[in-house]
Amino acid sequence: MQKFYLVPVEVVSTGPDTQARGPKYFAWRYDPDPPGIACQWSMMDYGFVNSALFLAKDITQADHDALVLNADVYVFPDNLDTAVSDPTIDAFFEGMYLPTDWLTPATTYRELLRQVGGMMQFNQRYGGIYAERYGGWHSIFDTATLQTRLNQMTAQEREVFLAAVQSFGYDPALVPLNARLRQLVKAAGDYWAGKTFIIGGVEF
Amino acid sequence: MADNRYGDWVLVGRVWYNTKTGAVLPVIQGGALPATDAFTTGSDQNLTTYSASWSIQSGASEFTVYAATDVVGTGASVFGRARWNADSFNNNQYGQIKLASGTGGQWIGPIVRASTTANTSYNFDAGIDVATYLIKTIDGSDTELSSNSLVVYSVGDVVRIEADGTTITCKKNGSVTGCPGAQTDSDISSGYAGISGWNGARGDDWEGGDLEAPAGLSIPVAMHHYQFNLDR
Repeated sequence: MQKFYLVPVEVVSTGPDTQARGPKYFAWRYDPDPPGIACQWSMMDYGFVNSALFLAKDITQADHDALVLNADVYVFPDNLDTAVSDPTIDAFFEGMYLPTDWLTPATTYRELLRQVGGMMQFNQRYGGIYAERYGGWHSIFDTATLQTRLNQMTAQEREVFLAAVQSFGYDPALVPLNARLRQLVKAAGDYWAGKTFIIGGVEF
Repeated sequence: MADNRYGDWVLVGRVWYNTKTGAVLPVIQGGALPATDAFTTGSDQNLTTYSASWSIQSGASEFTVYAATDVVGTGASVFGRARWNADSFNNNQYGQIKLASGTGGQWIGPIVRASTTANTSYNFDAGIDVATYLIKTIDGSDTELSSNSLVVYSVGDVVRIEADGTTITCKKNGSVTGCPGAQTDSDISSGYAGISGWNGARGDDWEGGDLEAPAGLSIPVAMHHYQFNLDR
């Protein structure tokens, strides 16, 4: 069966300047604690935040049942077009720097899933630009939380953040520097409104 | 004048040799995409010695071009990536290579959007009798995005990776069937096509180029419509 999850990303050092990252609980090439769950899977990382949106295409019911017993795994319902009703969602998502204060009683899981995808894409671009300009493995949330304001980040972090904004076609001059990251990351995710996400060849 | 001789310079394999001075200059190809390389050599050589059109992407790890079968690969326990430096690629680009040999624990495949300043690229690690992977590398950090272990690949299969906007797609012999699934990913927006190799697998007939835009396709420029909405 096919399931969407949020799962932790585990990190394995592969050399003095290299590392490998893959999904906790699943089998992957550098899996440090095999055997993980063997199935056809894909994941969309949240940049260098060690959490990812995860699609298991053919996970068994038994593996799924065991997986969701882990407190650091979130499972999306099969019917994504129902309203979000999970009372644990705020604590779980915000714990991995995914703001949820924008949710309304009418928000569906599909809208939540797509918003998560958009926010992940933004932090990916941030990490890519940071690495290209300064090297290293960086996330928006290296030294910040969702409550941090953009003008409280370091000048270098701010520069990369605004470069990421610009790379998606926004005008960085319109970004209010005193806005909190929870607002800005959510707004960045809005870029994907009307656009298709693909994970493992599956559109959502 | 023969194509392989210009004045005192003689083309010998992948180098120009000056018959008077003994100077040797590696051949640099470029200027017309798709770029191709059949890895034809008279002796086993490091890839960057064989051709100055290649640059090593990941640390000191090297590829070897093997004379016996005119293929490229890494040695046992050696992992490497290299980019084609002789041409500039559009942001929407592809790389492909034909699988020549390999077994369990060995991979080779094409890469795209390889950076000139960091060990950064999207990689399709393919091979024979192994699971195949779509890997994203950011400054030496490999993130496994997708895998496929259901389909066995064979010698002669052409594996390809395409980066089209934020969509990264792997193909085998022109089809996505049996490949790691396509992904939306925004980390890397530009770079060069190249190759990835791991632990002895070998490939041949590499090609890198730009993806063709469908006729009539225009680039969306309406980005000014987007504003950060802070009211919600």
